[in-house]
Amino acid sequence: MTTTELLRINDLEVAFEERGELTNRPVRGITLSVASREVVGIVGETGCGKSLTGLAVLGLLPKGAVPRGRIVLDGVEQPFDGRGSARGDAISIVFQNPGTAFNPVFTLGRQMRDVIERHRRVDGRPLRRAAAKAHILQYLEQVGLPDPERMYRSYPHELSGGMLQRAMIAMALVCEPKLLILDEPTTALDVTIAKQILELILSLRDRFGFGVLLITHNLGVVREVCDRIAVLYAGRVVETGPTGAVLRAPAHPYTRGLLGALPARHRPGQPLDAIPGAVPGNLLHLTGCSFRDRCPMAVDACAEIDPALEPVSPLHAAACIRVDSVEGSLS
Amino acid sequence: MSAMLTVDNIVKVYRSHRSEVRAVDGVSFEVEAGTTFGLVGESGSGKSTIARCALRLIEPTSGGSSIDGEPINGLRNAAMRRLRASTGMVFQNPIAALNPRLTIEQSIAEPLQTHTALRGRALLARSRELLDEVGLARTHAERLPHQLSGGQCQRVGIARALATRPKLLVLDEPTSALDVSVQAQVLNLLQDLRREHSLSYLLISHDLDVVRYMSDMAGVMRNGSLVEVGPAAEVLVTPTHEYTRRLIAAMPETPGAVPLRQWRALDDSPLPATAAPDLDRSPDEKRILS
Amino acid sequence: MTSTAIMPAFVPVGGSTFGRVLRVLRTDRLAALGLALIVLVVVLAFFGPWIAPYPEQGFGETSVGDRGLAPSAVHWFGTDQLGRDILSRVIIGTRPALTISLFVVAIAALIGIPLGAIAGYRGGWLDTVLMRVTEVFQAFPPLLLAMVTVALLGPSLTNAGIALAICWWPWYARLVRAEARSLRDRPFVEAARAIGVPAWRILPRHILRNCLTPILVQATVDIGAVVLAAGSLAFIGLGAQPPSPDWGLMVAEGRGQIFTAWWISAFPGLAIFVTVLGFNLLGDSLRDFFDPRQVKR
Repeated sequence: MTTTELLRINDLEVAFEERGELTNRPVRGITLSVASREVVGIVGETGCGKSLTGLAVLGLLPKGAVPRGRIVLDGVEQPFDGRGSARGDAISIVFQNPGTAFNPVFTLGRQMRDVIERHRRVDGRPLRRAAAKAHILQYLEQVGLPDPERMYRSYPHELSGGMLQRAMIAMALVCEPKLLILDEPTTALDVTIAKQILELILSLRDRFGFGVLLITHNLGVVREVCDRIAVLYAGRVVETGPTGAVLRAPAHPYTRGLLGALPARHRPGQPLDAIPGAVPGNLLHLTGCSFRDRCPMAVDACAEIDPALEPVSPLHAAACIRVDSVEGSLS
Repeated sequence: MSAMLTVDNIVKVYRSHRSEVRAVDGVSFEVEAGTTFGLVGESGSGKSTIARCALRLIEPTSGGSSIDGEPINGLRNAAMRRLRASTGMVFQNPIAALNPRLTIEQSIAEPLQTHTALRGRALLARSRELLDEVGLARTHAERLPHQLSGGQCQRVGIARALATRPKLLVLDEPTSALDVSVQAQVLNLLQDLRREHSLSYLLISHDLDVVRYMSDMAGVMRNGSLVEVGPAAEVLVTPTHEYTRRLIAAMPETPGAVPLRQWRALDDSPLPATAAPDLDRSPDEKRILS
Repeated sequence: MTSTAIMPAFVPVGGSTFGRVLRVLRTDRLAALGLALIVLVVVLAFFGPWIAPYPEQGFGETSVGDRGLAPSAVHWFGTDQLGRDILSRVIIGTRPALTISLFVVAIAALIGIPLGAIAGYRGGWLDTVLMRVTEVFQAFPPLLLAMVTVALLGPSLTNAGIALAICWWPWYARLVRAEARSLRDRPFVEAARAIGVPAWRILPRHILRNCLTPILVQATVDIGAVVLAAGSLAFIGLGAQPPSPDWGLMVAEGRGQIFTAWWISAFPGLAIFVTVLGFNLLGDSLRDFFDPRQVKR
């Protein structure tokens, strides 16, 4: 099956300014792409810039943000201010906390109808209420919600977290987007429910063929769902490649550090391999490699050179000047 | 070995005019001195409630607990307050667990002011000692919580909990709000402190991996009841109860995780060189094959 | 968890607060205006007797030969039916107006805040009783309650102050009670209980200290509101009595000649307006100043 490049983010930078002066630059040059039918994961910890990247794609950057770079969806360049953008239409987003993403005073059906009405088209025509409802019911069923009629009439507070997340996915799909962005979709959910949601996303992807950009800090989640991942650190992509390759044989010291810190990789009594130090707070005046202060493999050259992504194997790249010194897979 | 904490058939019922919720429905367990007891469960399982009932931060509807042999449910205010010096609690949201208008050293000093006669210079000195113990620079002492990161605030919370040299710490999802790398630092710190001060921990978490790593004994909670209790290496690796099995199966498998069957061999045999074999397959292939 | 750039921090207590104050004053014109008006009022309150051109008339001395003069270079605000210079009386009247409102707000806060804090934190029957009591007080139109109280105590400025304090404390009690209720479930309060901090220490340190902001904002606006309320009581004869230079009283005294000698009522009325405006503007900008969402890291 041929896939086309759906989303391309080129050299995305987002800085913040206050009263004419730059105060921080949380995103410092991110380039990645998502093809249709592909699930790409953006992985990183707090402060890596992953949420801002998602917002930039949607044109939802907060006030004071100064973006640079290009975002191209299906060949059409997207404006950063969100005007005339594909937001809600060709691009949809599912947020972290389903409980707060819905307006509590309107029924689910009403909120989903608002989405359709706003984008006015299914096959280029505005829908009448009955047709809109039928369309919505169809999606409520697709996401596995029992009794779609009742769901349509329900209020958010009547549903559990898992059901709300399914409803939010349905709402995201109602305008048949080409790209679905998921921002920490399972963080607020119990483990058993989260697993179901992830399986649902994959089966919907198979059925409808959209591309998925999944933003998360959870390495287990990306392993379950993502075809390719990009690991972010301090506003840059430090490693990217097929999920299996990156997680099995991480090339960048940060990725290795992240994996090494997981309790599941250690026996009780074995100290965890914690990455010392903390993420740099202000990214404005970084020189050299942003990870060098915490890196077990740092050398003098790391202070001078700001590494670019270098291929480690045909599809797998990492931004580290000592990539060749990293020995094989983790033991 | 004697039990540091004994929970005896605690029941907690919340009643509203229409309905009744049995948040905790007759739970009993023991935490041996110097060990970690991990309570796992999903949301609504009652694990947080039982932890608070065990410390009498919430009054149980019936049943009670003993700390270091002393039953705590009959104690009156002053005696109960004195008992608080022998326990400490660390909370899930590190920044919210600190009074936003108190400096770090004021927050750490509070238990000392409440339970000891330390004042002035001696009080400050002890606060700074505690900061050192949890690996925080003394420059943080005069900062406010919002100026620190989540990981740093959690260290402050731990320092505060240790101030009165307690015997038992209750850790309520201590790392759930923290990033992976920060979590590792905090867990390492907690293990070091436990060994150094011979502490006992009651660890509450929804993260099976964390509980498995940290605990000697483990209990699985569901809908207010303990469905399974035993050594962590057994309960969370080869459980007997169906619910526990489902929980374990639902956890996303961590790449390179210690294979479950190897878990019980707590010797120094090297871990396998490669991780689980089916990492090479894409998620699609895995699903088709499974 | 978004980057710190999107999640602004709380207001720092101390630190560069002074710097922020200056910045706010420079950008927020209304705040600057409010502050300027209040400074004016305070200065007049302190130095009134030295600033007023005819201070003795401010205190009641009459000058029958100058009755009913329109505003002029000699009498900027004109004179009233007894020949007294209105400018001087307005200036002299600033001190009692400000004093009484500070007194009322202070008493109302001193009664209401502890009651509200204890009721909100403890809950239970204490809370229920307080709520019912405050509801009774709030059910009365405030002025009516004040009138009844003053009628019982006898009309004077002091009694008007007492009456207003009695009307005002329930609002503080309810304000603090609501804050206390939401704060008591916060993790840091639970942490204090887990440490064993006794309730009498938790209340001031953890609860009250974190609801200072709305109290401060409310109190600031209230100072202006009390000036108006005291003036209203005086207007209907239940507050300060002649020959006191009370603004409300002065408005009442000029009521009969509103079309012939408008200045007798207009200028005291303007004084009330300016005072209330100043405190309202300051209160508004205080609210914004303390709003955590306005502060960036």
